[in-house]
Amino acid sequence: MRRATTWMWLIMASCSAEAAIISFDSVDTEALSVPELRLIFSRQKLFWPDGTPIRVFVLPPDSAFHKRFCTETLELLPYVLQRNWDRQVSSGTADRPQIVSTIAEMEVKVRETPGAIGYLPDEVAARDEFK
Amino acid sequence: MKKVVYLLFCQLLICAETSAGEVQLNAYLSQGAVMVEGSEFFTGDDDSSLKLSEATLTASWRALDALRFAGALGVRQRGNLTEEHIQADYLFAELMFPVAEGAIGVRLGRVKNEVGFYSSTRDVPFSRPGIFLPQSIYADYYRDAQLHINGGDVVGRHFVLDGQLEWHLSGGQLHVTEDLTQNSLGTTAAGQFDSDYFYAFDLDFRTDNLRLGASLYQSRLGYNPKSAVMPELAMGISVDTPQNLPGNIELFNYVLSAQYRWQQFELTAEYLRGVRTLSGMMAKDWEIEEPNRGFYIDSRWLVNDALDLFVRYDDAVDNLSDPGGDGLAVIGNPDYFGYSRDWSTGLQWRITPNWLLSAEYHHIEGASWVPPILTKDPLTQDKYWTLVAIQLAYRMQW
Repeated sequence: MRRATTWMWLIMASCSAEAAIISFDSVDTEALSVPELRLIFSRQKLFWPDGTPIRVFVLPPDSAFHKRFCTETLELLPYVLQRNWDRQVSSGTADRPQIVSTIAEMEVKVRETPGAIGYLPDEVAARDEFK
Repeated sequence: MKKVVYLLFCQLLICAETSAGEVQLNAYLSQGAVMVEGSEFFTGDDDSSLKLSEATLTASWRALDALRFAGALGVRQRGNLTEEHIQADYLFAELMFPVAEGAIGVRLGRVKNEVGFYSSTRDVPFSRPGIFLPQSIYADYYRDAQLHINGGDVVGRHFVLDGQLEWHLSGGQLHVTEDLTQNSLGTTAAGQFDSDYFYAFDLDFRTDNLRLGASLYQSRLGYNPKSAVMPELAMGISVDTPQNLPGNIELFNYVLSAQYRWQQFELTAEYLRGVRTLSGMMAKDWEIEEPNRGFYIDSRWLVNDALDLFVRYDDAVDNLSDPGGDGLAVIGNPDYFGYSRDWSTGLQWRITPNWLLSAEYHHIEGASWVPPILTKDPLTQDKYWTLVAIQLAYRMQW
């Protein structure tokens, strides 16, 4: 696995104006398509192309920004994403994304966790220089 | 064995709590009510029952990148189909490795069986399509014989044709409780079913709108008589005098599944075909094969992000050699014990993201999957009968 570093990449191509996808910067990310993002955030795709395990972080599922991320970025209703997690959890076949409480915690977790992916409001990503 | 399982689950919880690794806990709680007219299915002698209670706690701990431990502990009562008891739904160690952009892994311990779309997710209200699954394929009386095994599961996930292909190759020993014996014989006094083996191969392909599945499984259950007097089972097939002999039930089934979503509409269909072989029990060299079949079609209107409405037709034939059940008259049973035709309609209302209210109505002709399977009483089981169920469920995730 690549050595952990402290900065993240902002993947612009597949983001809406509202949400920016962020990831740990050692992850060899290219522009991710919306279907790929759906697989990643549904915990169906578990590894990056270089073999690094994908660690997914989401805000509380009942938060307004998570719902907006689902509908606008993933183009998926929030309950459909949650149903995918429930299937994985109830069958034991995979874990669901890690839930973080705040945007600040999201930033810290994604910065510190190799293979991490998450999302932030555009303005926060720009303010904190995730470029 | 039970103590070992509980100790292992508790150890998993302790590890999850004290570890700095990735830890997840989830809990699902639900309570419901069932009303039945014309049958003793679920409610027994009463017309209604509140014994629809389910609680599941799951824990997942990723100790290393490739190593994960996961467990689910469930407390469940489903009327007279499942007596209240606590058990580990799954409890395993998993090794998972990347292959291309997919993954291949192995799980060892108690693992869920993948049969059709819903066998592995049937015990959580949020991951099943209603309160009662289509009984032609997921019969509640037979839950033990489909649910999970103590053994291993080799699993692969691959990305092909703009979708995900997942496969499972699993084998081991079924975890059979007294519920199976009670639901089959109506008593546990005469003997007990136990598991010899269960092997399965499952394929599941899904895209955003389409899901296709195929499952093939073989299992054998042993029957061990306890006493010198066996109840008058007659097994629904023979007028031979039942003997107090051990025997086996072997199952060889396949299930084909398809689901397609178009805008706000979702259509699901599954088809089961198999052969049930009964041996021993009646006489030392006695053996009979019975082909059986089941299918259902579920049409669902996803009204909005909070509400689903569904209409389903579920059809089961217990013995294709006698699809109308005419031969059951020989042993004094009515023909409608040989098949079931279940029309149902209902809703799933997500009141908030974590609260789910489900309600459904069934109108059923026939009683092939009504327990006790081998000792049904024509005086209490009508040809046409109805079932109404309502259930409120809550989800917590940490």
